[in-house]
Amino acid sequence: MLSWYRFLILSATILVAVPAFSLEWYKAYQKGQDKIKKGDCAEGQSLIMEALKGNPRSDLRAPTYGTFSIEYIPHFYLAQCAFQTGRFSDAQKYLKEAESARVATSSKAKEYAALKAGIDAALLKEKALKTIVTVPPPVVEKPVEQKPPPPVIEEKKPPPPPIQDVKRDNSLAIKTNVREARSALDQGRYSDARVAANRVLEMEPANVEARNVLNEIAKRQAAEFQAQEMQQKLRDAEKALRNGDLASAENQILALKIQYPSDASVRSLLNQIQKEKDSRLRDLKDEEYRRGIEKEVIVAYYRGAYDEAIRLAQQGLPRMPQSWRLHFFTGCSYAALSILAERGNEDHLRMARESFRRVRSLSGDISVPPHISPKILEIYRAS
Amino acid sequence: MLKCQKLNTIRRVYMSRFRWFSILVVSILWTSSLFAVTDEEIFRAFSLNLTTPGARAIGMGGAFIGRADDATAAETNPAGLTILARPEISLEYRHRDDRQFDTSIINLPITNLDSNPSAPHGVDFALANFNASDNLNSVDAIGFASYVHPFSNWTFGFSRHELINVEARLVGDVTASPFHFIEANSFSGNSEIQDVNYSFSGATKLGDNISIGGTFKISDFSIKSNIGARQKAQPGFGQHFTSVYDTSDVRVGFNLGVLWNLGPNVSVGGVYKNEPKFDLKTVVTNVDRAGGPQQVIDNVDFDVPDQLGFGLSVSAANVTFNFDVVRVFYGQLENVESGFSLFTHLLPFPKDQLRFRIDDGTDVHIGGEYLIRGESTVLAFRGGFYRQSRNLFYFVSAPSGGDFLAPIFGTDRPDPLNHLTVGGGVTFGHVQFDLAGDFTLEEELRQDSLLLSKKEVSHRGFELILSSVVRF
Repeated sequence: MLSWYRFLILSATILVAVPAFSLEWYKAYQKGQDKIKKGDCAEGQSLIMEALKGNPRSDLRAPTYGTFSIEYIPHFYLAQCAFQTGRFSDAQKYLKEAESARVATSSKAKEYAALKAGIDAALLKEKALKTIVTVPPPVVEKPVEQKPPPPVIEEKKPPPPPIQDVKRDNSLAIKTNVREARSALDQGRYSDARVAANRVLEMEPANVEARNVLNEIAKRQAAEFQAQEMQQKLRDAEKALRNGDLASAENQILALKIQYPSDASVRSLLNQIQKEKDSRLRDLKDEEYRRGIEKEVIVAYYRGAYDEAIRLAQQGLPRMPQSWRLHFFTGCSYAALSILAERGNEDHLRMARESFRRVRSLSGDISVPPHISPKILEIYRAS
Repeated sequence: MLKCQKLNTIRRVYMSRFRWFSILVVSILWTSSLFAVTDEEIFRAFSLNLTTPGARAIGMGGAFIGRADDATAAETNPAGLTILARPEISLEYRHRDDRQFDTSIINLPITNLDSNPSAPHGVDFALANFNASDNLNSVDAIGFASYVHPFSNWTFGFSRHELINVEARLVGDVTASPFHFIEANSFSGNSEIQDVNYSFSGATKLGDNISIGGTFKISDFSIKSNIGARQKAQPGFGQHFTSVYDTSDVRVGFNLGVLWNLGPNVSVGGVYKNEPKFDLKTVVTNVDRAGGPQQVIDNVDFDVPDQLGFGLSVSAANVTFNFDVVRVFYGQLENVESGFSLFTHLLPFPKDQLRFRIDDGTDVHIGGEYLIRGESTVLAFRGGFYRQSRNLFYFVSAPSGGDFLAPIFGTDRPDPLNHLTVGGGVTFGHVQFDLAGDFTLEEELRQDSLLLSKKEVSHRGFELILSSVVRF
């Protein structure tokens, strides 16, 4: 890594390489302020102008860096400089800009008032001097002639056509169409029924029969749509169930149950989901039990408590007959007991072999757990 | 035409100067070397927390490299010192609650690797339990103090920063070990580690938008540690084995930083922090060894990890968002010399065949600040998050005994710690007060295999930081 003397070389390199740069607006402003306060208007003014380039917006709480803010009223200082150098109209212009930034409410309020009074007095004096030199002729304002407004011409609208009361005898056509609408509705041909009902309403807008037909169509179509929607949701829920996504199947079917609490297919699917959930829970519990009992057996075996290992394994095997580990460590425990017995114990050896054969029939070639005595492994392999 | 030629000449001179400057910087940075710690209990458990100074920075999740606009920049990113317009002093006080790390392992498989075992004849396998607890004591200290003075083109600063301040009590026991077959061993001890940097910083601008800065630091490092072990029925810790450090060392390091304003509201920063390598002496004594005590004195090159960080800061109106990524070179603590710990001092194979590893880590910091500007005061509200990688070494390989060592030392880099931070501040005219709370979330790691159960708990931690800045 970089050593400290290399760091010093690097620092010296940087010192040489540093080019000129412009100041941040707030630094230029504060330096400008300091210069102007010390009476160096030439330098101060250019620094304030540099600040204005960086930040043209005056603000009594202008954020600078960190959480600090400053009273930023550059035009006030420009006005001060302009006043000091006798540029009174410039000073007045700058002061107006400073006023728009509410300099009168700033910490420079007193200086501002004094400066304003000074500028006003100086300008008045300047004006008075000009008046003595040249008196301008009085300006007479000519009255402006006002033209009378143009006359308003009312636009004549054509009279509305006379309303003619036309009455025709449509009763036969109405009856025929109502009958046709009703028959189409009964046969489920909704578009034909709607066309016929609308024909009737064109002839007699207040016809109750035709309106009833239209209402009936809307009701039946809504019911059919709802039924289709429910079927679709049921299919989705069934698909989720088939894919094993129990959570989303349950969510979908519970939403349907709120809409259709007494629907048999919804209830049936809900029952199926519940059964599947119960079955999975059982599987999970079984898995948990299997891991727990296997661990207990293995720990007992490794601690040398072979009888305890056999007892625990026999306790777990009725519920977990497929666990090769329970059979394997039962076999290992019997084998260990057989080896530990002074002249060997044929019963234990037989039980060990039997357990090992079950392991082979259940799982074929297993990867043998570590730290098993070679003598026991020999028995296992020979079984 | 003449003006154009002049401009071209200036550009050529500037470019050539920039080119050799860049080459020099790269060649200076491009070096590396190897250092070492031991596998003693103090280094197994010792968790470095390289602190970021300032309640304002911590309130924003420690994300400050891309902003660095206060006096703490001397440590975070010295280039940020160029932002300061007026001289300022800052002071930081830290309070850290005590914190505990617990490890418990049940059913560690133990195979006899002891040439002179205490176990009955024929017993060559056992199951053991391991428990360890590392308690970091509460700390109250002045964490950071600085004075910064801007001149026309340069800004200079002096600061004091407590980079590391840890007092810890370590206790643990193991009921059996392959190398002490079968004997219970336990250890207990205290350690104090402190690293204080006294820094001189300078920063300048390389143009209208780029600033660079450097900090030269004198690091005062001290370590006091006394861990004692006992075995079987020994009544006192240290009757079997002791490991003692009582050393201080002063070295120098530096920080280099750059800050680039991409626009009025966006800035990016980079910082490289070089921390020195300290020369420490450890004395390990095997007290009750047959044939009399055996003492091993070893020099440990403890290299505080360097850091390389990059940060981005985006601000709009009164809102600021900061994001930092920091690579911490924990790998500098390698190689880990083995054979010094309670677990490894009686290895049946050459010590260099037991291999540990420390990976570099990447810390991520993210946070923000919202300011409310009143007539005479500014209120600040802050929040952040950071992930702190850890320096702990882990087991890689050994000719034998791996079943025992792997669960104790772990086999992968340790999980990072997650921190949530909140903070606030108030600024009256030229004075700023900030406070921040750093909450380390509780982490629990569980490993359950067929035989073994391991549980590691990093309990909740809390740190309160108060800081103040005064501008003149």
